[in-house]
Amino acid sequence: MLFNVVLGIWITAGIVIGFMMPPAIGLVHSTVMYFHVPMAIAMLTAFLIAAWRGIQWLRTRDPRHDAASLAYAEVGAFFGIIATMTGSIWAGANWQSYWNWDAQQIGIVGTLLTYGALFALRSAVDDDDKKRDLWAVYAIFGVIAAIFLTYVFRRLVPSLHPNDTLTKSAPGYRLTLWFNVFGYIMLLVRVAGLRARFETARERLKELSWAMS
Amino acid sequence: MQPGSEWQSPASTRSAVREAAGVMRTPPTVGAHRSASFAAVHAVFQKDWRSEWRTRAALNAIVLFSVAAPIALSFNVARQVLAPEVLAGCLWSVLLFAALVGLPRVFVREEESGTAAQLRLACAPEAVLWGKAAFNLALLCMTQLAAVPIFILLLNARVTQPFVLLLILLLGDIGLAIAATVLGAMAAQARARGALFSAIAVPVLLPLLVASSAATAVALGAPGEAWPALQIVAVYDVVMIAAAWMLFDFVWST
Repeated sequence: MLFNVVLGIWITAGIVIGFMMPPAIGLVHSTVMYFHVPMAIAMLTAFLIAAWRGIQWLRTRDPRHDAASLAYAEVGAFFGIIATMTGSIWAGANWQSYWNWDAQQIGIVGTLLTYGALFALRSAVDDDDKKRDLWAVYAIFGVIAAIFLTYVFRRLVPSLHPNDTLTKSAPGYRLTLWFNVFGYIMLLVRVAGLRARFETARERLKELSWAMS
Repeated sequence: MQPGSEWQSPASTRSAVREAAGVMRTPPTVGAHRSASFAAVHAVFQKDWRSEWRTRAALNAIVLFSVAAPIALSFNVARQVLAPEVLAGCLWSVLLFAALVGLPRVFVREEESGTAAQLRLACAPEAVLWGKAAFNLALLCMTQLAAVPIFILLLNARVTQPFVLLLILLLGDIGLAIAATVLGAMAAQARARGALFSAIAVPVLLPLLVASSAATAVALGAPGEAWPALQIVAVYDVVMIAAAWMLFDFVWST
């Protein structure tokens, strides 16, 4: 309960501060960066945690880890969609085109595709344990692909992204950015935790109904 | 907030059900591998090679596809002068789709003919992985012996750095073969195999595809250096081999 209150205040404060900051030098509509960048970072964090919980499922075979892995992937995909949409709107305002195929846009599309493939794979397997094994293995392959797409291609394909404008400008901008990054990662942990509890409860209900029939 | 202590793992009920049904499960553990001898790997490769050579079903499909695709392409764009970047992108798209058509066959065939269980009994998972990956690699290399020259001829590509082209084709094939082997084993155990394989293979192969076509563009005369892209493909191959080695147990064993 206390965590919910703190989180609500933190996110609200982040939004208010983000809109109150003066525009950064060299960027048009820089306000969106306080939400777009944290969403993208939270998406990758979610994917890393999902893969990590997948590894834990493979090691311990405790379905709670699998439920957490599913939860982080679902919330991460949602964050990814928001990051793509905000980024695209901003690109339309700034670069006169909503989609430019620069390195980071390739990266986020690839990552979203990987999330989609994860859900498709999970829905296509009947056996529960097999489903979880394949999910965990594919999450690891997917995170490898996402890391390649996100970090390696910046060195290969030219990027339009103003990657260090905010981190290298006055400390106020940097602080606001990291304040929001932290807030949205906490939000991720909270929502994914709830989703994981829901998933374990649903699994248990399935077991019970199966046992009763 | 966190799942409370009243929550009990359904794993206990589930394993009780399993034992009652007489199904024993020994879950594989991370890092523990039954070692596979070279002879076992070779035997799996040999088996696949022979059964493929009897029907040549996968080989025919994949070679015909990768010959037909450049022809279809050149019907549309033959009179245009294509930039090396466009040609490289087309070449790797053709190779990707050819791989999507042909490579999942190795595991789908086992499931269709009902021989997957015997293979599980007869061989260590690693032998299956490396044997099938070697078979897929051979299949890809044979396909490209036919497809790449036809592509270059029909679309009037100028190969300015043939060594780079050969190297990137080989490195790209290794990555394609190893990723397609693990993902093919996954898709073969799910419903809607063929469509699912494409859906799960494309995102994982995307880094390979982008880097390979960047290097191929340089080999076909685009300005710039091929070296950074080649390095990325090599690193991708190594990471994929390591991940496949560690994780194939979980995919293959039931």
